[in-house]
Amino acid sequence: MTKRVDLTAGFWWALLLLFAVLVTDNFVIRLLLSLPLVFLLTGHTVLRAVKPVQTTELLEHLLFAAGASTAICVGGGFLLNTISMLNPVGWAMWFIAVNGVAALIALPQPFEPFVLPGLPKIRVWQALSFCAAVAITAGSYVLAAHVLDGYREFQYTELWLVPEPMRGKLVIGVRSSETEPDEYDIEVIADKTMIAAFRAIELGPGQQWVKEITVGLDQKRVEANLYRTRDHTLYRKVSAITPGAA
Amino acid sequence: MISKISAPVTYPFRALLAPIEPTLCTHQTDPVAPISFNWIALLSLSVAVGSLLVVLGHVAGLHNSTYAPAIFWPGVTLMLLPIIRIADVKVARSERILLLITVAEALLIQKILYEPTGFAEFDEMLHWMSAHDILHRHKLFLPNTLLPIAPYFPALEIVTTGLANLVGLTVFSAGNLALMVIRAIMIVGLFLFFEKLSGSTRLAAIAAVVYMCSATFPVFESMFAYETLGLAFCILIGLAELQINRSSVYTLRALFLPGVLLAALAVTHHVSSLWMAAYLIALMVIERFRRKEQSGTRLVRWLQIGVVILGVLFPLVWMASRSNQLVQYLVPMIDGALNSSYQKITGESLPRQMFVGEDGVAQPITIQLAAIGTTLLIVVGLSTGFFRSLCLSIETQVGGWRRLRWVLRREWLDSRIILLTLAGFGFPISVALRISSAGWEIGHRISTFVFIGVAFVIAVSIVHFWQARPNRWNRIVVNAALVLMVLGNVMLGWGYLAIHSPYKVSADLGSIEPLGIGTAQWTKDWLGPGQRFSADRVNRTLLATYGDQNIISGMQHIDISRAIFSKQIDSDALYPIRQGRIDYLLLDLRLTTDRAVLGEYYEKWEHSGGYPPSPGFMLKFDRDSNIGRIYDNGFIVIYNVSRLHD
Repeated sequence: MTKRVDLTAGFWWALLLLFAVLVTDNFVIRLLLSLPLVFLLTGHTVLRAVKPVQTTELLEHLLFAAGASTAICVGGGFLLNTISMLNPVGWAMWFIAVNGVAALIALPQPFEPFVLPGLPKIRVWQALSFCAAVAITAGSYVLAAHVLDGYREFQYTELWLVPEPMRGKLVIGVRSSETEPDEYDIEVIADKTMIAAFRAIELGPGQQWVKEITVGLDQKRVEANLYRTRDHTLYRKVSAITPGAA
Repeated sequence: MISKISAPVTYPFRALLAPIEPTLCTHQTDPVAPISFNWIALLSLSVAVGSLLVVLGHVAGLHNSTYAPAIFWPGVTLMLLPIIRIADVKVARSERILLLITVAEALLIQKILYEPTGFAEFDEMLHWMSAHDILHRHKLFLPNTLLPIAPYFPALEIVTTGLANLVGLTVFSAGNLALMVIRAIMIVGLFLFFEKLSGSTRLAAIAAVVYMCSATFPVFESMFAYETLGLAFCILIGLAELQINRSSVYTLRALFLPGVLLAALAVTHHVSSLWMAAYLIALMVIERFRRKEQSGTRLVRWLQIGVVILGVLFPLVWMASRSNQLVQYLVPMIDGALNSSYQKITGESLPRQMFVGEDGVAQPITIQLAAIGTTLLIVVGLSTGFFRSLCLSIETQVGGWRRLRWVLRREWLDSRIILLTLAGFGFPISVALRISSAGWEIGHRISTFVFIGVAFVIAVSIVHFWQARPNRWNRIVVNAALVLMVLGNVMLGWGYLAIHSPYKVSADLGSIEPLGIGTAQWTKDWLGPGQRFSADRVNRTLLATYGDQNIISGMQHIDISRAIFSKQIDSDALYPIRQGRIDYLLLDLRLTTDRAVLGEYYEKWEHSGGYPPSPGFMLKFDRDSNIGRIYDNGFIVIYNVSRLHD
């Protein structure tokens, strides 16, 4: 670059990022603006301003810029924590400040052109191969996320009995993570007396059933038994101490 | 006359010692070549197809298919194929660099593909918890009950949450993006460091490939953990220090870059910053020994001293001001390793059985062979490269053992080469430490740093001995050996847990599956975050991350295993519950089904004898009327034990 574009690029980029943070939740736009700023541009601008080392080639400069950028980001975290601004706007402001100050220092100095290499000549089939490689890798990731995340080794049904903050009340819940829909019965017992029963609760995989029950203030220990309707076997058992009894 | 007689006598000795003598090849080490996009395109496709096979291998593994390794490992091999081009003789520099980044990222992708939607390694969960806290509570230094030292070294979490804040990503996505950038910085930095030292692009590329044989590279340095960023900073600092030494124009500004990087390193990872300080001090000491005329000015020497001072000052100041916990964290680890080593030397303890897990299960024979093969190749490389590397920076055309005289006269040109070569001795030490149970962790971790030296020495041996006169055969053999070394290291690093398999007891990433995650999420939804929970090793990481719960464990000096491994709810069982004021106890009944893969269910010091707790012991809490069994899914039960200490 023969002009001083690269010295101010970080500042304008950071301003754009602040704008994006304020007006959009589109993660692609915000990613395209954030990634270069966090890991490269800030370090590049600062190194161009301070000129700490004589880099002999572009790769070395980019590497140091990436390292410096990451280190500056770490420093920013400490500062933003001090002023309670560890949030998107705080981060965008930090990058504006660093890039702005660095650009102000760099601009009055004798200008050293920053030369970017030209684009290499790539044949169509080579470009297509790269695209195919990226597509296959991305596809592998999507496949892994879909298959591995969706795989359920254990099939189970959850039963819970949780005291409500309101005294004398309990929340009873059932959630199915089975492979097939099933029907359940629930019996709630307090001091060997059944105080509630819920019959033929039908739940498909992923479905949940929740009920609030009043057990009074003097109850001490409440138990809930979950039976499978088809064979009436005891499937799950939970218990709780009523809050009122504390 | 004497020489005529002695020549036939000494010949066998000379022939025997020839492979290790410090003669360097006089040929041009870096033949010039144009970049070949054909190769890059083909090898990119190879990596991509490899990644697909890796996923298919995981799918097969989950279904317990015996074909899983036959699909998975060829996939990993395809991902490593670019090595044959990186290490080849006539390759353009830019091509080597592109392919190096490709392989390094491929190994990271291989790890990500294991668990594509969440972190699964134990250490990752510890840092995930800290990052999650920073992202959602917008503050640093929040307590981390799983790793109390972590909040005081928050650099990786800061970078990750900064990105997550700006983009609107989760910690997992932002963390993986950060890891990819850090991985690229690390491998390119390493390449440039080796290249500047040796003056050879080929040697540097081979050394960077050999570094991938470090015990920590496949798993540990791919983790979302503070050492990953710490290592990248260390390499950049080494490069910046080298740059100061090689630069022709010096000002005090030169201290800026190493200063910024050293400051960042000090708050990134304690051990990395101490290693860096040790490296800089050792370098200064060796430099003082050097007899050769100083190449730079007095200012350069002062700048280098300045770097050393900063390298020592920053970590010490940070540790002194913030992290008293460091002593509590590191001292028991070092103490354990020293005790274990002492017991080994005095014959008081049996050595750790090689290739046999804590659960008594032996690694598959392929992994054992790969590990032995990789270690042997490293030893051969070190033996043939040590003296060559030691004499790499002496200014003489003399060949043979006489070159050592220059080293003995301390007339080397670059002290870094001497230091890196001597660091090669760390390899046998790290292997020896890994044989003992307590020393395993330290031996494993020091390989991260000593392998920088090992990689350099082996690369010197390849360029100046094995391929001193490159031909078709030695090119094939060396390339194949490098692929096998990295593959063997990946196999050894991951072990049989490399491929997804059905649930295993207490196996960290081998135990993490939707049931455990769902239970942890249930606790957050129905009990609320921040409850005082205790659980086994695996479930407490899930509770802390997915459940956002406050974990009470050995880190808080509470040994909940006392409550689990006792038959009755007696005073011994009640002690940890009362002492730790534990409100909820999560019991995973799957623990009763098998021996712990990692040898512990709850804590290292538990009285399990390596055998699972009895279901009766775990379910004894049902018998106490003051305890509520509030959750049951058939595998995991949660008890409300708050009344036991109220």
